[in-house]
Amino acid sequence: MDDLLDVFQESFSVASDPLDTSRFYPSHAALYKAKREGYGDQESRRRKALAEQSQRRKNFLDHSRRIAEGEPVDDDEDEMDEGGYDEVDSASARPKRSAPYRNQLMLSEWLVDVPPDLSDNWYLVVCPIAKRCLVVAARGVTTVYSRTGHYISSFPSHIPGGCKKSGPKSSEYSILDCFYDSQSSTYYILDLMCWKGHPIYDSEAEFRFYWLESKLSECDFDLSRQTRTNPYKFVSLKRHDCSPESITRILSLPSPYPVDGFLFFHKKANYSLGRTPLALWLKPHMIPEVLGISVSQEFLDCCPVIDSRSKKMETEKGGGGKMEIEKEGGGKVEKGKRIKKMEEGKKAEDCSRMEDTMNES
Amino acid sequence: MAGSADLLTSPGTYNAAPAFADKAMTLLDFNQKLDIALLDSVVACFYSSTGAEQQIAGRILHEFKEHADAWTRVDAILEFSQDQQTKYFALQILESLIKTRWKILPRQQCEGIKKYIVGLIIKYSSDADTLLEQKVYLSKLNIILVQIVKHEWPRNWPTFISDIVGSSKTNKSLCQNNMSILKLLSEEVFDFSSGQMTQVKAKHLKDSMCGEFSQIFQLCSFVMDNSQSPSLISETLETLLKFLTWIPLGYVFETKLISTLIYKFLNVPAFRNVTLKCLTEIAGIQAEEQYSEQYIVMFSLVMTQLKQMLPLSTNIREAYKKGLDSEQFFIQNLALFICTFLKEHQQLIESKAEMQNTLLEALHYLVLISVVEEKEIFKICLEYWNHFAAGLYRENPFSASHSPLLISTSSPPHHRRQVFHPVLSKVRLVMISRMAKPEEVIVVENDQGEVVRETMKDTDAINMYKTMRETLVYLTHLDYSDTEQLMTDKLYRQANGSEWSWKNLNTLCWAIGSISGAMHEEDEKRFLVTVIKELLSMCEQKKGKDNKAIVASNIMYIVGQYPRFLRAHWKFLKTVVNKLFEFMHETHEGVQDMACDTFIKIAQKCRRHFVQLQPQEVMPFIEEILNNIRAIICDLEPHQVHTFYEAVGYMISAQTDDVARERLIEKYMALPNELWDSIIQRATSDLTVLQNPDCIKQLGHVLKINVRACSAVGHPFVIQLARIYLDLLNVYKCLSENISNAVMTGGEHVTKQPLIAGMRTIKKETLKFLSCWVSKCHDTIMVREHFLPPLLDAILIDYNKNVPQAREPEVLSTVTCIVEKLQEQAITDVPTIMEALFECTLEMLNKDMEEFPEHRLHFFCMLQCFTQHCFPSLLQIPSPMFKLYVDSVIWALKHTMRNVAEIGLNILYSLLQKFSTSEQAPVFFKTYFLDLMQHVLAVVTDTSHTASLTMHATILAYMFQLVEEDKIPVLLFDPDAIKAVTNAFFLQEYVATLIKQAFGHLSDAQIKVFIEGLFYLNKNIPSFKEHLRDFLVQIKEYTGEDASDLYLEERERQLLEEQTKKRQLLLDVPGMINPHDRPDEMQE
Repeated sequence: MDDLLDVFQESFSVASDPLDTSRFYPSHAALYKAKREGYGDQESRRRKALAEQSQRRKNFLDHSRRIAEGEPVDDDEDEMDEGGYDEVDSASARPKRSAPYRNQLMLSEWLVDVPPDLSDNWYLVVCPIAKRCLVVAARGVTTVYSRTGHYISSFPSHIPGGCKKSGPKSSEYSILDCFYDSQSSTYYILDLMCWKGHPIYDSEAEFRFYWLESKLSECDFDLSRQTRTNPYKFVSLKRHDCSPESITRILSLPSPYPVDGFLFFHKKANYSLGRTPLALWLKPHMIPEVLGISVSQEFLDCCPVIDSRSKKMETEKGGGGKMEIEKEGGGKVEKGKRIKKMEEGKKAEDCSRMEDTMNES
Repeated sequence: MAGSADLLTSPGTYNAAPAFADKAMTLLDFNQKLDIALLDSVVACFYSSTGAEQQIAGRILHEFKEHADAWTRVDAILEFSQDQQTKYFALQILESLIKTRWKILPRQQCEGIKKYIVGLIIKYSSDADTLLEQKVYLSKLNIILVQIVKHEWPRNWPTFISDIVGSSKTNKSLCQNNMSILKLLSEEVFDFSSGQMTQVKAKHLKDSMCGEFSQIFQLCSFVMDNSQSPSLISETLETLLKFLTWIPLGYVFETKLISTLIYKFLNVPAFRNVTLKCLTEIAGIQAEEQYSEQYIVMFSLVMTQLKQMLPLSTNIREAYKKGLDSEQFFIQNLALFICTFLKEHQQLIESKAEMQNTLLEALHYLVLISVVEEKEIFKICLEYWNHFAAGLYRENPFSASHSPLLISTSSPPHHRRQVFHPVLSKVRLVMISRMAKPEEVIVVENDQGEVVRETMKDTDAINMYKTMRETLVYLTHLDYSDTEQLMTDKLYRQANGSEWSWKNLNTLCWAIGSISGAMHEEDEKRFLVTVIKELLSMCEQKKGKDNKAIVASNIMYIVGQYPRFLRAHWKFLKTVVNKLFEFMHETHEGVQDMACDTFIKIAQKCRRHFVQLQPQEVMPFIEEILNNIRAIICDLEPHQVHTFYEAVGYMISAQTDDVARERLIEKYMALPNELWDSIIQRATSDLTVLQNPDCIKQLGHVLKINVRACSAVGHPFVIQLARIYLDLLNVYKCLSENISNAVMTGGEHVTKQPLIAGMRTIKKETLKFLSCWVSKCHDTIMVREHFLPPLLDAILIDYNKNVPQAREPEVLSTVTCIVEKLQEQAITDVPTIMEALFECTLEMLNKDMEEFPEHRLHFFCMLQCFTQHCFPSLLQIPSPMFKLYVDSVIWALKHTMRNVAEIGLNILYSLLQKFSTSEQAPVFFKTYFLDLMQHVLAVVTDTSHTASLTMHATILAYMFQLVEEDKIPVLLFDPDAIKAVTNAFFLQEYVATLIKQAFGHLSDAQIKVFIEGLFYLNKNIPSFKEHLRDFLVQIKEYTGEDASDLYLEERERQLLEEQTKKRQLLLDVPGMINPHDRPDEMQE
């Protein structure tokens, strides 16, 4: 029965990708297995992704126009999915609804291999507890779609293309990647894909963030203000650099909004659709172990949610400490003890990772 | 009926083709000789042209047909017309005459027509070639003859049978056609007589036919023994098939009929299908007591023949696929034969040891046929297997013991199981390989463009699944390890690819899911662990999300089907649920829906386990879910969120501690309440927020969550309802105003616009929320005191003042729901409710019988509820309104929409019963009784309402009973004006007059018998109903002077018997019969 539980929990998935962030943080076992099957470790896939970027030949002008006008786009499923279909059984397939807005967002992987160039080539964004969504401002209205491409709502806004003034035929459409926080009626802007009809999918993250900031400041209207014609606030998320000092500073102060986790962007990464190793994700309580930087209590207080996906990691890394952690009262874990334990665990992990890299080369 | 005047005065048609119309009109002048060529052209025109010409032609033909003398032209037309269609037209006229007006024709003319038709038939059927050429024409003539026979025989044509038998011996093709006639007659008398003839007449004809059957049988035997003509034999066998349903058993079992069928005809390709059908019919007869030997012999002989025709080694499935139609029918008939025979006589066969092999061979055939790819055939086999497996199980309902030593092979139940073991194993495999799709929830878009969950409505497929599941469960009980082995083997073949396909995997997993609970718990656990492990490994190995998703759905389906296992293994249950939560973020199409559906299924069946503290856990799992709810549902679509909330609601409902449960509910509703509160807050300072489309959408979403949550949590949800109640009603009022204003400025069509539709959704969901909670609440006083007043205040006036298109039918259904719950406690509220809702709704409904179907249904349900539970309140409403109320009930009766009509009938019945014991009885009955009687009779005799005949019968019977037993405390008539003494006497006359006026063609005798029956039979509803049915038959016919054919005397005699019986029963009850009516006893 026990091994059934393990298999059910670990390997049972529709996504073949063990680093899919909707799953638990992957255990060593899962990673080893993936590697055995040729999945490749994160660092090498990163390098590969960066290299292949420049060779990608997608017409983003056409793509973004289609998004703006609601026409179907090519559905780029996850790379891992090209594993060949054993059968396309139309008779028993469920009826597919058309969702042209599916897979339009860049999704991250769990940070498993710490990038050696973290401090130099990466940005950090502190993400709020909010719903990830695609915002399309076009033809006089601003429309919001979920990650799975389903319509959520529409309203006017002063993003170019997003209100009646711009008119239905305007070629001034904009596409953004946001988090929506219902409590404060705020859309936190994570990334920019297109502004006033100019797509920037093919630009590096560094450029996109700069462009976003400059366009926002140029805007006549303060998008972070809530008015009748702009009923929701649009606020861009701050990008931080990833030096240890910077991260420590962030982690030592309370956050202005409840925190879900940290996103790391490679400065040179273009905006790709779907999952990429050039965007990485960690939960706050994982930082100490993975990055070796401690988290202050004030910061942790702003991270109220400890959901089941992240819990697994503690029990795993604790290395036999399963019972102990549960004794400590389940979700809430005392800071001091934990970090110590984690550090021990981490050391072990570091070794094993080194082993891996040595084995590989 | 279009009169000539219509044709002349209706514009357009006349003007369009004046010449043609003029000429055609001459056909209608019956004083002139009929111009048949003209008739031919008009008929041709009707069938081939279009537009104005065709219309004129149609009208003229119609009028011609309706003319009383039309039939006199028929013979001329048949003789001289050149057009086949004209001849049919003529025959139609004749047929209609015979069906309805035969009785009023003079005797001479009846004889004339009879001879004419017989002559025609003989003419065309005597020659084999014409028989074939004129087949269709001849069959119409046959039908007409049979109609005549039904009237004339046996009374006016006692020699009919001998005539027809006699003539058959002279000529082969004549004989063949005569067989068809006999076949038709058999059908008319035995199969189709109900509703077409009076009961007495039907019986009389049946008796006659049985009495004269020996002649017919001799003829059939003669043909079967001697004829060389295939078509004649074929026709004879078809006729015999019809006869077999009713002929006296001696003819079947005490003659050589069966052996002739088997030896002479079964193996002849041209005859085998009809022969097999005959044998099946015989097999279905239940006469084992007298003829058991014959059955055994029959079975044995048939099987011997079959083995020669269709060797046991045949691949029947392939044969079916490639076979011709007749071959396919043969296989179907074979299945029917075996199943019918064994269902009736298996025990008999099993009692003979020497028949065991034959029986096993028959079952072998059935197994082979069970894999034929044809649903109808499979259904036949399935029914038998179900019966068979159930029988075996019930003999010894305790599961097969694990230890073989304990099975004594001599004890009958086990012996049988052993004997049938190989067959059962094969049947198991068939079931597993063909398992039907279980009832499933699918996601569709409704008319408002909203995505909703709907249960599959294909009743055929659902029934198939139920039967198959039952059968497989029985089979599992009979031998669980064989079942397990077969399933595991199939599973391995999925895994190794040899049988892999989506369809195959689904089928297998449905089969695995269907036997949940059939095995012992330990065996089941072992089995499940194997299955799930295998499937998990399959999921890992498959490439591509489509494949993985299918396997994943199947794993979750199976897991969801075994709650016993889940309840016994908490860790596993928890893992499953966490995995479902993971799947709720998966973007691949269908996975999220699957996850939510499985989640709600598991939540419903394992709810307790989520609120209890499980070993090695620190808090009940429900707490964990509620803590993380935001993260879990963040990627779900709205309709999935609703399902999720409902699922969690079930878990909460399992918490029995009041305090703990309250706390859970608060936490549970925290997210939607957050949204609700913020909108309310904004609205308080700025009402225009409630016209914001985004806001309306969110409110709709919040309310739907509340409704689903309430349906799962039930009464304890009151704490949430109370929290938002007043604001909810305020929102309702405010939105009502918005909608009203929008309609006033923009017209009615604005209700279709998204914003207004969204507002209406909120109103509807609010009402649904309330009905839902009220229907589940335990505390009616709380409802009455606290919830009802503000609710009525919010919804009644709004409904009344609004335009019809903006009135929510849910107002009516909510009111009904509340009154159902409160019953007498609502009596004081009903007048207010009626005041607001009654007349304005009636206005909407009384223009026709179709508009506002939802309002219509709910309106009458509401009235029914008031009548049943709050009757005293109806006595308090103002009398004009009461009159309208009675009118509306009558209006309901007249609907052809069955559900509305039935509700109306129920209300009426209720009303009559309640009034009969009320103080207000005199006033009510005096004012309404006769009217009601008249309307009910009108509806009954309007034949489009025959579906409700039982209810009609019940009400009429009741009304007549009331009068007969003098339970009406007032005179229904004015004693000065009418000469009658009792209500009973008066009523008889009154109803007689009514009927005479409505149906002038009925004779006084008929009417008298009818009315007597209404009185004598009113205690026996089934008889009363048949009596009404007879009357309906009579209405269709014109009787004329000779009423003898209706067997009125016999009917009278029957009724008198009924009356005597009834009186006797009553006499035995002391005091029941009025002393004046008692038979004279010895005077003291």
